[in-house]
Amino acid sequence: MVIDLFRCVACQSCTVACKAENYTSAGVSWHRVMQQEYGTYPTARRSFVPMPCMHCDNTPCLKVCPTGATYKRNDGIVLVDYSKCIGCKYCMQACPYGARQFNDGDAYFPEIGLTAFEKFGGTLVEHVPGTAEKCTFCAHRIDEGVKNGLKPGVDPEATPACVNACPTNARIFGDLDDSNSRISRIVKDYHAEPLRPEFGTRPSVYYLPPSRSVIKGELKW
Amino acid sequence: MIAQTTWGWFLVWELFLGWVGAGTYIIGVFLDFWRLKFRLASKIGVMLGPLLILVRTVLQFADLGRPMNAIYILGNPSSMISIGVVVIMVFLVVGAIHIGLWIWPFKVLEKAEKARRLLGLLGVLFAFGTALYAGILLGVVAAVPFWNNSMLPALFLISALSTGLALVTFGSAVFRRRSVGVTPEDIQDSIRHLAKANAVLIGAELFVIATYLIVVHGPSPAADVSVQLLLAGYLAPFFWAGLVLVGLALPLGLNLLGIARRAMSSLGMYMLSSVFVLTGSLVLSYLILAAGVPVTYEPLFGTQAFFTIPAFLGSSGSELTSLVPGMYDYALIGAFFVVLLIVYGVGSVIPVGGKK
Repeated sequence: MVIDLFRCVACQSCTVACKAENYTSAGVSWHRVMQQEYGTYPTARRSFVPMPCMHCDNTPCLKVCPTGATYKRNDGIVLVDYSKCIGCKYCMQACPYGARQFNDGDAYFPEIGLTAFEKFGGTLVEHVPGTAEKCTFCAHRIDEGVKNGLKPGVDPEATPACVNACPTNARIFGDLDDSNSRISRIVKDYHAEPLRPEFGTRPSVYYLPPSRSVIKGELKW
Repeated sequence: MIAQTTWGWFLVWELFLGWVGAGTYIIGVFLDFWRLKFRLASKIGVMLGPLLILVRTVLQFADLGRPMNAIYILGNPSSMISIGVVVIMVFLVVGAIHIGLWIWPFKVLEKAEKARRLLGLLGVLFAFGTALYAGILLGVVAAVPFWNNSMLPALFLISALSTGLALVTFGSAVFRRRSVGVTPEDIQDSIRHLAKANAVLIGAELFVIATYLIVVHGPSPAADVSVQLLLAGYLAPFFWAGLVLVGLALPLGLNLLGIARRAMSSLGMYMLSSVFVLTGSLVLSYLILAAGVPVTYEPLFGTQAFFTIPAFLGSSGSELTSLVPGMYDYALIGAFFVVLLIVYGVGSVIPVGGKK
């Protein structure tokens, strides 16, 4: 995934689309939008940073998981097997992006328990109280789409919900392994960089600079 | 910058009991190699160590989000939790055999000195593992720069030995009339030796903590925040009053004073010093976790960026596990201190098992 910080307007559509798609419980948000300021006057800027799980190649949460509940698929998506997770929260501590969230089993309306909508969502997307959850890159959508012969990143049915929901097209999804794909060319040509490269995690989410002057070479990241 | 809210008081107790238990056992086994007058202290150490670790293991189990899945905990041999659980389990088994054959219910090893010491050395190996593993567990977390430091396991180990000595000192003072074959004067003398050793260890701990804060205070903004929280932030009362004064300065002073006076009445001072060491150790364990600031809110890009906050607060972690000090935290540490003081008061007035 590539996220263009120049295009992002922090409308939170991605955050809401994620909650709607994955029926995450109260207090759990697999996707967050951070904001930060950078630069000095007169080139100081405020930028918004949407943050899903980075689906790292060198995965810190997978390394510390004592049960092996966290696993990486062949296509690079990092998932959690909730039937094995014991909820020790070690992965939440180990992730430098804060992508992991703990599901306490909270409901949005505690006095009436889970609503019918929440119960219905639980039948579509697995949620187990007492486990550490995280963004799945909408693996269920990708799997379903690929099964039907669709291409993730091209056909909306095979693409994560946050990418479909983005009104400014700030998110681009595709296969980074395929060097001819649109996303690979964007990463190569537009100085796309991952967050926190100093941790050596090799994330699968790249970011385009928040200012076009960075691409022109007038301003440093 | 926000301190971590992932791990709360459960882990504080786990760390504390982990190093106290391991340290007590280590000290107990090593005292077994010494003269007869240390036999009482040795027995107390070997007895209490595995029991405390057992309590710690139960707490760890209760802390899990899904305890019924605990069977999977050995699934990833590269995870420190999996390694630690194996080490603790072996330690518990060896400790149980050691207690079972030496102290209660059997006394087979009372005569077989060589076998007892060999068994003890085997246990000590895993006791060191138990003391160190929690430090390594926190130390490998690169996302929390305050922990990601090779000094942390060293701090855990020295804390283990110091608290172990304190507990053994306390125990031998309480049970001083229980020993067989040695005079009360000998026991007094052995306690004085223990206090002397602990003075050295407390000094070393002071040095390690100071060095740790200097070493960790590096270019990482998150670690800077951690150190600031400890020295001048909301954790400063715990750090200066709880750890530095009660946990280190007072016991060091009491032990040195007691050694200098060489008097029988120093026994109470050593016991009080042990109470201080144990309380300070609980505070240390609390501080290590409460000051863990993750890099999550560090600038995401750009060297000049200066703050990062969620634009929309989807909170991770709950208020239950937040270690930002409130009434609860003061009350818990205070209650622990008061309980130890009561045990001290009762124990110093009425020694257990007055056969003489």
